[in-house]
Amino acid sequence: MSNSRRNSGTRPGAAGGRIQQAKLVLLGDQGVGKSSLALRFVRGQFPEHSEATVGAAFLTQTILVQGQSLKFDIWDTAGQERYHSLAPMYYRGAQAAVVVYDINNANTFNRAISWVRELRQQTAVNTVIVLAGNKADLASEHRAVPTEDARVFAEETGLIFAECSAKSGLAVNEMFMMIAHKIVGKHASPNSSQGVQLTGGEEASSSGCKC
Amino acid sequence: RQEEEGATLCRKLDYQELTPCLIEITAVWEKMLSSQQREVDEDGMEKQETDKENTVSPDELLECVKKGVPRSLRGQIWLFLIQQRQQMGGSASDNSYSDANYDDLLKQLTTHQHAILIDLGRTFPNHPYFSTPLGPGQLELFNLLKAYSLLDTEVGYCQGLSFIVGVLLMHMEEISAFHVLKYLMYGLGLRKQFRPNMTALQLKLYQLTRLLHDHYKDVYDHFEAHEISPTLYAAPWFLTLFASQFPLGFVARVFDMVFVQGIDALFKVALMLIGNHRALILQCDTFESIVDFLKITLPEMVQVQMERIINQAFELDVERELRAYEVEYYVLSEEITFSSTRQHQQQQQQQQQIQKQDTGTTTEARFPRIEKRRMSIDLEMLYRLENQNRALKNQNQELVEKLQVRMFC
Repeated sequence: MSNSRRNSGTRPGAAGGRIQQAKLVLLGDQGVGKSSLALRFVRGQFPEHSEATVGAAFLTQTILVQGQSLKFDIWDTAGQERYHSLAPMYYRGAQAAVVVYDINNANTFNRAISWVRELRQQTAVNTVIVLAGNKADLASEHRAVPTEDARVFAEETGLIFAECSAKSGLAVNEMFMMIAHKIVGKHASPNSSQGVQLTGGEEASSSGCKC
Repeated sequence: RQEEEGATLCRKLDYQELTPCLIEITAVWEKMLSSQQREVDEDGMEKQETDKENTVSPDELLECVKKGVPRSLRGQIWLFLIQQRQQMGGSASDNSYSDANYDDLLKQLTTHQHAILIDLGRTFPNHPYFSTPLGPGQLELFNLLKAYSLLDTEVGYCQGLSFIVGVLLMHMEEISAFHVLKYLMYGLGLRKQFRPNMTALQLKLYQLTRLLHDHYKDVYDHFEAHEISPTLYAAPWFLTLFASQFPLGFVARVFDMVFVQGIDALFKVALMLIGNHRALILQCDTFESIVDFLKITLPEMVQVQMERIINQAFELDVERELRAYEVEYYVLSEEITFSSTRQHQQQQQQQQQIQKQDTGTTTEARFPRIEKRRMSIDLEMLYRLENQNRALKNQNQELVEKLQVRMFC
C-alpha cells in the first residue's frame, strides 16, 4: 500500500539537468543527537541551545554528487519510545534512514538495533540504512559502545557504519555524502549496486566511517 | 526581597503579548480576582463547591477572556477560570487520579528521571527563566514533571509535556502549576493523547483531517495530492498546545482559550491557522514547500494575523463535528480490525443470499442498502459502547496506522 511516487522522483533542474530527490529519515533514542546531526549537515552548525523535537522536524539540503544535484528531504523524528507509533509515517517510502545512537550510552545502541530490525522488515530492500554512533567527541572519557561491536553488527546487517560527532562535525558530511553516492549510483544504474564508487569513502574511513 | 521577586517575575513572563489588555478589561479581571480573594481571606480556607454566589456565568467569563487577559494576572486568571469551571461542575472530568500530596511525590524516585533530565535543557532553551542549566526554572520543571510521572504512572513522562509545564511555570508558582497540570490532564482529558500507544493523538489527527475536508475542501485536496498528512505538521500542535513552535504571546492566548473552552479549542486554532493561510498554502506546489510553510512560515506570521486567528477561533463551534468524527474514527478502526473476519462472513452471507434470490432481481442494488443499515446499527451500538471499548482500542495501534495509510494515500 506504500506509495512512493514522490520519494524517488526526479525533476527537471534549472540548466536542463535533473534534480533527484531522496527522502531520508533520522531515527534513534531520545537525546542521541538526531536533530543536531541534521542541523550540522544542513547548516554546518552545532546548535548549542536546541529544543527537544516533538513530532518531527523537516529539513532539506541539496548537494552535488557525481555531477548531479540531489535534494534530501530530511525527516528528523522525536526519539522517545512512545512516539514509535508515529514513526512509520516518516520512514514510509524513505530511500535512506540514519539510525543514530550515542556511543556513550549502551541503551541507545540497543534501541538502534531494534530500529534497524524494524526498518529491514518494513521498508524496501534497497533502502540505504546507516548506523551512526554520535557524540564521538566524548569517546575518550565516556565510551560505552565499542566501535568493533557496532561495526560487526553493521557488517552483518549490511549497513553503512559511521562514528561521528555533530558537535565537532567529525564524519557528518562524509556520512551524508556516502548516502548520496549510494542513491545516485543506484538511480543511474539500478542493476549494479555493487559497482558504486564511494569517493567519500577514504576521508570517512579515516574518521571511523565504513561502508 | 520584593525587588528579587519582581525580577523573577520579569524573567518568567519574558514574552510579547499578542493583544495588550486594555486598562478597563484589566480592571474587570482585578475586581473578579479580588472578590474571590476576599472570600478566601474571610473563611481562612477556600470555599466549597456548594457556594454558587461568587460564580461568574460561563458566558460572562468567555466574553472577558475574548476581550483579553493581562499577562501579569494571567496565572491567577487561569486558576480562577479552573475554579469557576469546577464550581459549575459542567465538564465531565476524570477524577480518577490519586490525591497524592505534591511534597510526598517529590520524595519518591521516578523511572522517568533520565528522560526528564534529557529534556530539561531542551525546553524553552532561549527563555531566560529556563536557560540556566539546573537553575530555578529547570529545577521547577524537573520537580513538576517528576511529580506528575509518579501521579500518573500510565502516562509517566512524554515528550511534549515539558513545554506545557514550562508555559504554566512562567505564570505561576510550582505548586499551583501542578494543580493546573492535573486539571488539564485529567479534568480536560489531555492525558489520553500521551498514553503509550498515542491512540487519542491519532484520533485528533483524524478529526483535524475531517474538519479540513468539510471547511476547506480545496486545501484538503491539495494536501491529499501532495501526501501531506496532519501527522507531519499537527502532532506538535496538539502535544504541546502549540508551545513548541509558536511565539509565547500566541501560545498564552491558546491556553486562555483552553481554560475557558476546553481541548476543542486546539482544533479551532488549527483550523483557523490553515484557513487564514488558505491562498498561500494553495500556492505552494510541492511537498517541501507546503511542509516548510506549515512548519516554518506559519509560526512566523505577523501579530495582527495571530490576533485574527485567535478571535476567529473563539467564535468557531466544532463540537458536534468533532464528536461525530470521533465515532466515525472508531467505526473505521473497527472496520479494519474485523475486516478480515467480516469479509469472510460477508462472502458467505452473500453467497447464501444470491442462492436465495431469483436470478432476475437486482442483487447489486440490495447490497449497498444492507451495507448502509449495518453501518448505522454499528454507529448506534458503538456510540453506546464507546466508553467500554477503550481498552480494546488500545490494541489497535498497528491497525490504526494502516488506516492512516489508507486515508492519506
